Amino acid sequence: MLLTAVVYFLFPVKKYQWTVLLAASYVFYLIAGYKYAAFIVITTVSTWLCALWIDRIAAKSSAELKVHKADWDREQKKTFKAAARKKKQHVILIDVALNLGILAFLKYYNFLAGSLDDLLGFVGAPFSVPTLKLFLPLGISFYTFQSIGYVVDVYREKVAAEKNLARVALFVSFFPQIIQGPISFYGQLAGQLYAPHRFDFVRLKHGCELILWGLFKKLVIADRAYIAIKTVLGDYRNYSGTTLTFTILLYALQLYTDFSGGVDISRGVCQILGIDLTENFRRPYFATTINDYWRRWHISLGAWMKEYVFYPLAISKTFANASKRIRATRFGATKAGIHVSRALPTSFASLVVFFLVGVWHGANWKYVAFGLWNGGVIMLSALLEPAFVSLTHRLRINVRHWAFILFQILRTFLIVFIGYVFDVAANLTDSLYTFRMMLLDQSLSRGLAEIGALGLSAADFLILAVCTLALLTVSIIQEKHAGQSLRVMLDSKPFYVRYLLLVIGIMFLLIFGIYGPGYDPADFVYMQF
Amino acid sequence: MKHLFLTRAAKCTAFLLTLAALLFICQSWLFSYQDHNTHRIRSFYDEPENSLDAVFIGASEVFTGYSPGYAYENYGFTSYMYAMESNQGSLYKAQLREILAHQRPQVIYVDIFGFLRSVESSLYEEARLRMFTENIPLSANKLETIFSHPYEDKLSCLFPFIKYHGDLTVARSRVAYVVKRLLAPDVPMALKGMMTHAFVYDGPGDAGSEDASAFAIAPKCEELLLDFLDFCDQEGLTNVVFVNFPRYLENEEHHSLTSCIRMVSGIVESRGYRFFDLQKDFDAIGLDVTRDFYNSHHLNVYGQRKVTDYFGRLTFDTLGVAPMPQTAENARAWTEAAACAQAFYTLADQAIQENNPIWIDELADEWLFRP
Repeated sequence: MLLTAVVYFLFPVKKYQWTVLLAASYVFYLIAGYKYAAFIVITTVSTWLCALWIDRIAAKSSAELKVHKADWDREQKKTFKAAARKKKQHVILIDVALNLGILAFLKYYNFLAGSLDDLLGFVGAPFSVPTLKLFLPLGISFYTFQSIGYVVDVYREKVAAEKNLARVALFVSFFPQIIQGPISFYGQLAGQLYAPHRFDFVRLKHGCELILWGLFKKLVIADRAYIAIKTVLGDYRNYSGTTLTFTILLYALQLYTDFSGGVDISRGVCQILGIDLTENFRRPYFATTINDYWRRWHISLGAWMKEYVFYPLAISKTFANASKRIRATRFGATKAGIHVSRALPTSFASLVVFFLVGVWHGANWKYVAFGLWNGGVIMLSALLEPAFVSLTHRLRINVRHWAFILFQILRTFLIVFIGYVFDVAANLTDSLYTFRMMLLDQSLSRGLAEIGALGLSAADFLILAVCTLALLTVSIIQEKHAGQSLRVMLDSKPFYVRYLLLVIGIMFLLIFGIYGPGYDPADFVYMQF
Repeated sequence: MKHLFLTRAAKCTAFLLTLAALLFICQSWLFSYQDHNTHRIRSFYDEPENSLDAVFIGASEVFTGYSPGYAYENYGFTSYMYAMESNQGSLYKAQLREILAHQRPQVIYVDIFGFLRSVESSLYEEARLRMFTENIPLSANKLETIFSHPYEDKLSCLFPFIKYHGDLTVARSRVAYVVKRLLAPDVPMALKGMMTHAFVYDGPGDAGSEDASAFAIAPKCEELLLDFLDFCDQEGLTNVVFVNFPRYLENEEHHSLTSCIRMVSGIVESRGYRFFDLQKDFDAIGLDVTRDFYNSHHLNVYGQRKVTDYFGRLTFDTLGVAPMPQTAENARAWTEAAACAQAFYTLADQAIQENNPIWIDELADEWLFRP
């Protein structure tokens, strides 16, 4: 990273400064595993070609329409445009089929083969479906989505197709975000990627502070919590419901700090280089509804799904017709019916989105359950919204009161917590087992004894508690001053205050971070996707 | 603009220097593993240059079986034990290099037990590598030792902070030791690396294995010994003497250890180096198995004095070494060491009489707060 930054800023020809990032991205990718390289190259080239092809179809049809502007009537122009649009859609289909196909095959073939095999075995079929030795290229989920988004944006004429293959290669493989996002839109990122950047001391300072914060979350909190989580997951069925409950709570902390820490490091690196990546987390555990939670958690995935799955579904003819059909019934004429006819298509679209979100997380029925749980809650929330509003009105609840907001936050966390049970268990059976144990096997004394033997010392628990408190404090400050960067606020403090905080922060990280011999380095959780 | 650049440069430099200083304190003091082994190795470098008549290389048999202060008091020669628990033959060459970089002893005693290992992996343990390299100054020898060792995590050997960071037990013991030193009475502390267990072992002796081949030396041991001998030849070291410290063995003649020592001594002597097997000199030393050991492989304070006497006679009479003149300051320091050796003996003897099997070394509370 240091070498990349030095070469980047010293590169003599500013116009081609971005080539340093391209070289660094591919070196990073090859070091991570050269056998993955073929897949990212296929995605890059196919994305580039399809975007150019779509652009060419659009340009040709534009030219053709210009030529026949005078002699074609409205219907002819409409038919011609529809034909051009269909051609472009075919190209998108090719791109999506190829790239999503690669992702789907590598990620889901063995899962589907295994499930089909179980089914065939159940019905007594004489043959079985073979499984293959497959590996998942680094960052495939992220760069596949990012490149599909680019092609769709070209189709929608939001952005022009990039003629330079190397530039497309950079957009697809950009190293700070390839491991775990955030997933960027081409329109947001490209301008920054290809523009020349000068060294800026303030950006360097802020970038380093963000990296430090990310490392603190990852190395001090997430990896420490993971020690206990790993112990329980390795011997699931021998722990009490209390311990399992505690583990899921710890998982909630670990997942957030691991994922957001990693993204902070990526954003910090980009900030140093003069590039601003979108925020991917915004204090998700402060969410008051499940919708709000998903607007604060993995924001870029939510934005991508909204842009390329939700909206196309929600405004599609199928869903619009469904809405009309409900309205045409007797129920549809009632107040509730009107609401349902409006809310059902969009909430069903949400269900589909979350089904896909679940599937995106991994090839396992538990992820399907995870997605359907979240989507189902969102769907029900949307459908029952008038009832909730009416209830709060009747009970004369002040929805702005801090106690009610706290209730909403805790309620939302409980919903998220249930989702985490699916996430953390090895499979669906284990998830259901966990639910059963959490409900039926609560024993404080046994739980405390087990928690004390999870591989964390009293000092580790103290460090976790103190750091979580620090994280909560910072989050509250950030929530109160939403829109303002904490680092900019820190700049206004006296020099010695800033330096003291930074020195303490760095020493705390170096002393209490989980790294070095004797520790199992925990990969970033979202790297596996 | 220039002013802004200079201000920022100054602030950054101050910041980085502060961090570097804090890291240095953390690495070299707060998060630095300390026990009697590390203390012994580090204290070697406190000895004035070229002031030692004899240096021992070896393991626990050495630092429990020999008393430098007693040797100085009775024979006038200065000595030090460059020894640590389970010291391995794979580190002997590097340790010899360290000794030669700071001292020019008249005799270097090498305990052959470091070359008697039946399993190759026990020649390359991480713990021994760290015990040694984490406590010696940075040098080409240190770098070569770390990088030629099979242990993979080289970076944490170069920067031990990577291993010990966050280990509050290490930090606590360091702080506790400093506090104890401040609270301890102002008395001489220098044991020159001695250690003992105040206990008299009453047997049985080490019977070894019924299968004589059970303790067969790993082929690597011979390779390391030959390499060590080659190094001594290259350096023109005619003052290296190999020794075997005495043990309490049953059926000594047929003990598996005996055949291994015979093999190793054969190699050593064939290369023209002297080998003194103290196991064979029990009577000459005056050792009594019912009184002079704290376990079958280690001497207690009683045996320690007898063996030290024997080394005194060996060094003077057999090897013809005369103690080198010391500066007044050195002489004072060694007189103090002799007093410490006497106090060490008295403390151990008393503990044995009282049936109180304490461990005594320079870091022990019993030594720091002795009456």
